[in-house]
Amino acid sequence: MSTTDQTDYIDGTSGKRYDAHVALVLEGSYPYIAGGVSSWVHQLLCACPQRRFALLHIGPHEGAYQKRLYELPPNVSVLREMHCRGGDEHAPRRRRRPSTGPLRLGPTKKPSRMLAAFRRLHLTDTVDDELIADLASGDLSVAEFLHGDATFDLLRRELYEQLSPGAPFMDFFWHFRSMHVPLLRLLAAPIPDVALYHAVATGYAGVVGAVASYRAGRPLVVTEHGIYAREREMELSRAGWIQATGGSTQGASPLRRLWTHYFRMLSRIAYHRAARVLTLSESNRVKQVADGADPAKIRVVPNGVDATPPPEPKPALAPKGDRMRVGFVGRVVPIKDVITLIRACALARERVDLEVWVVGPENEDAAYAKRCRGLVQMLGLDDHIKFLGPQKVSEIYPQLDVVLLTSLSEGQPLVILEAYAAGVPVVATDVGACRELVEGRDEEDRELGPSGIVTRVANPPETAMALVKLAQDPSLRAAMGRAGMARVSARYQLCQVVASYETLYTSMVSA
Amino acid sequence: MAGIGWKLEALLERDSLGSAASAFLTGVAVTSGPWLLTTLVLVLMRLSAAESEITGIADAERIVTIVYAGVIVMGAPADIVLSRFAADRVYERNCAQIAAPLRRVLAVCLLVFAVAGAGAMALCDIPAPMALPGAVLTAIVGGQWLLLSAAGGLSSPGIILRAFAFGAPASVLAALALSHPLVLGPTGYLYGFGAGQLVTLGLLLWGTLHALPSEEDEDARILPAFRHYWVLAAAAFAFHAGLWVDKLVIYFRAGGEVASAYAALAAVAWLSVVPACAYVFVCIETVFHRRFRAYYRALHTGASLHDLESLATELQREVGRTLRGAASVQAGVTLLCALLAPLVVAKLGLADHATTLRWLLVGAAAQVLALAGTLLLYYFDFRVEAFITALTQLVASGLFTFLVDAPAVHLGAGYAAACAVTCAVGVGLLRWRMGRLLEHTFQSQPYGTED
Repeated sequence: MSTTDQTDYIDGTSGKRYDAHVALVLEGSYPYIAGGVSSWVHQLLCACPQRRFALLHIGPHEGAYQKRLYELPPNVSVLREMHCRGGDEHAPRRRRRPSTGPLRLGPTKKPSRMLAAFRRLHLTDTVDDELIADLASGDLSVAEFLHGDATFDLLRRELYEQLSPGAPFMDFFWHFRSMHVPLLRLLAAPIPDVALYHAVATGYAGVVGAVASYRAGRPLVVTEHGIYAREREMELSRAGWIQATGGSTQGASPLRRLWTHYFRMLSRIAYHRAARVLTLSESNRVKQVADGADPAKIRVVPNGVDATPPPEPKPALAPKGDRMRVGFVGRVVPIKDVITLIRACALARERVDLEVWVVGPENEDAAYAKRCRGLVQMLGLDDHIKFLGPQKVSEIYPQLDVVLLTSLSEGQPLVILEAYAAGVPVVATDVGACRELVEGRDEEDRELGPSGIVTRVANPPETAMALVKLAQDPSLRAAMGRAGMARVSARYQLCQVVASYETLYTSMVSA
Repeated sequence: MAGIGWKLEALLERDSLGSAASAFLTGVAVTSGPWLLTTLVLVLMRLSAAESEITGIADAERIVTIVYAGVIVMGAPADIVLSRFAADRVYERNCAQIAAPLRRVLAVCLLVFAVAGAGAMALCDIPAPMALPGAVLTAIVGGQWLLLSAAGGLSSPGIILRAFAFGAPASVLAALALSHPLVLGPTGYLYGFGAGQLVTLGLLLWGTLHALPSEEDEDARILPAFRHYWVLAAAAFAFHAGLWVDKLVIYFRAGGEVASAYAALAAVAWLSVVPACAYVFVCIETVFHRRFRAYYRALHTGASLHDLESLATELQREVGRTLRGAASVQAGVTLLCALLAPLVVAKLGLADHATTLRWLLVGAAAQVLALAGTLLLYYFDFRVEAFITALTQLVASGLFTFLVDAPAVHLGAGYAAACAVTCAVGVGLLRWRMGRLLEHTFQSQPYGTED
């Protein structure tokens, strides 16, 4: 746990002394990981200089992130690290371990409320104030959870029998531990006293925000870029560390179901406690409602970019028959499905001449990045697909003809807005808000015309077709570039986003 | 021990009386061979010395007793740690790390026991001509028991049996030859006995080093094992101290003569546990080990909770069967020995002590069950419980002997009561732990790997 530059913030209305005005609860993002969420956070911090922010960053373990990729603005008064794993829970602690029966704590001899909450997380679908209160009780230490008899009784007598009878018990046991130890550690960590908690995701960040909000009696706002539970579900469906067998004869494995339900419940906790749930697109809003969020709480606040004054529309760079330059801007990680991008470019190159720039960090999942480079080499495309690493993107966009995005999941990609601001059309998969960004959100927006092409997820031939179409028709590219520029100017201005959040912060704090 | 286990399994699977007897005789040889041979040597030497009427032989015998008591108690912690260290390296298939630490520990052990032996001789006012061989004998026996533990850890009972099979007669012959009044007398007894034990030590060293690979890791360290196994070391100390504390209490409360008779009868009584020890050994190395492996293998091969519960129950039942079987064997032997007690004490020239021998037989019977329980606790790595059992033996034996035996009216009754209490504690702890085996297996698992 580390803290930087503690500075008090005194609320002008109530006179209460806070560590900061707003605490942003972040998970695996700003200021250590580059990406859409981090860029958005940085934009927000810089655009609200009059507010003091505390940043609570949830990482896997101490030392996982060495270097900050963003320079913290002066209005960030606290940066606190919270870790899912640590060194204090390793060894069994016999002295703390109750000998028999349900877990008893202190002289009151009451069963652990947190353990009761864990039970509910797995066995029910509903979230209420009592569940959050139980989680906030803090009456279960990591050592008691790991080595106490009550935990094992719960696991053995109820959870295993109801959730995955017949599955390998050892796997079930370790998965159960792996789920809850991070939660226990995070909920036991000290949280700054602030006027408003703002979780920039659901998941662990959402629960930490919800419990902190409950304990402090302060409101919680949740902003979801990608839908956390859905993204985890997608990762789980591909995860090799969950065995597909073991007690399951149909559908997903019991362990996968266990995790999926767990993440959904984490999201529901955040949704339940939040006074406002913000998301980037209408499609996300629909998913949030399906996942249990109260529709009345949800507001769509799209991303925005600073597109004023709009640059000159970019002319078609290359005449027909010349090499078209395609850019991918983002982290080289599985969720961006760079493998599909490479395969699509390889297919397109059979018909048109392409040069592809992969712009973004490769260190978040080095094995995956290595796999991507290996594929490029195997396909003999070293001269055509270049990995440029992190670059100053404002200098990259003007050199591109098309921005290509093959993500498996997105919220509302800033990359698309940045490309539009530079007059570059996009080819993007049909995830998150991509379709409404490309084709328009409503009738008025659609009248601007398409600003790119939407393709299906993980479909290299379809993506290749889109690239071929744009490569063969420079006038189409130019028209789409103009449409994108008009769209971003009309609807996705940063100042609009900042105004929305300023209004929200003010109303929440005064409430 | 896996190798010997397979051999025993093969013998038992033949399903004949002869093969079963061979299996149990193997158990006798492995579990009790060294100390049986040592006891036999001491008894033979005593009888021979008595017949030849060598004067002052009792002093030499007392020195031997002091040496063994001191070495066994003081060396126990290092012996058990070395044994576990060797066993762990064998399990890891990393035997190259054994030889260098073994040599270093042996060197330290020889030096420390030589100094300790000299100190003990001085404390007991032993005259210099006998103190010198006494100190040397202490170092030799100390090294011998250390190597005995190392060979045990290497699962090499053959090394141990071979060394003692040659060393024991060598001790008898050399002691008798050198103790002749025309040669060195009682001093020669010590030199001769020491020479024979030196042969055992040399054979143990030769066998142990030959059992190890020629490549050695000179950087291997044993000190971390002392930190890791400190509870085991403490338990070993308490257990071995518990074997001698009653004799010490008797010595100080009732005098040397009574203590000498008591010690002799205790040694004889302890012989009655040989069949039960062999039975426990054979059970643990065969059926129990099979169930033990099945349970722990199932953990890592995707067993369901129901399967694990069934296997844990089977294992619990096997523990019960082993203890009940050992108790039955011991009950039979104890009853027989109790009936023969008057004959035995008469033969030993201690005719007034038949009741004492019977009490000591009862105590030995309870103690062997406690020992079986302790071994099973070790098997499941319930170190603290094993330590509690050993500590109970030490404290109860000292206390009850002080309270009950001191007036020399019911000599041995205190020891019997202490062993009964220890047996109840050890078996009770084992039953309690086995009843929660599944919980312990899982909930004792450490979490996290980034230490």
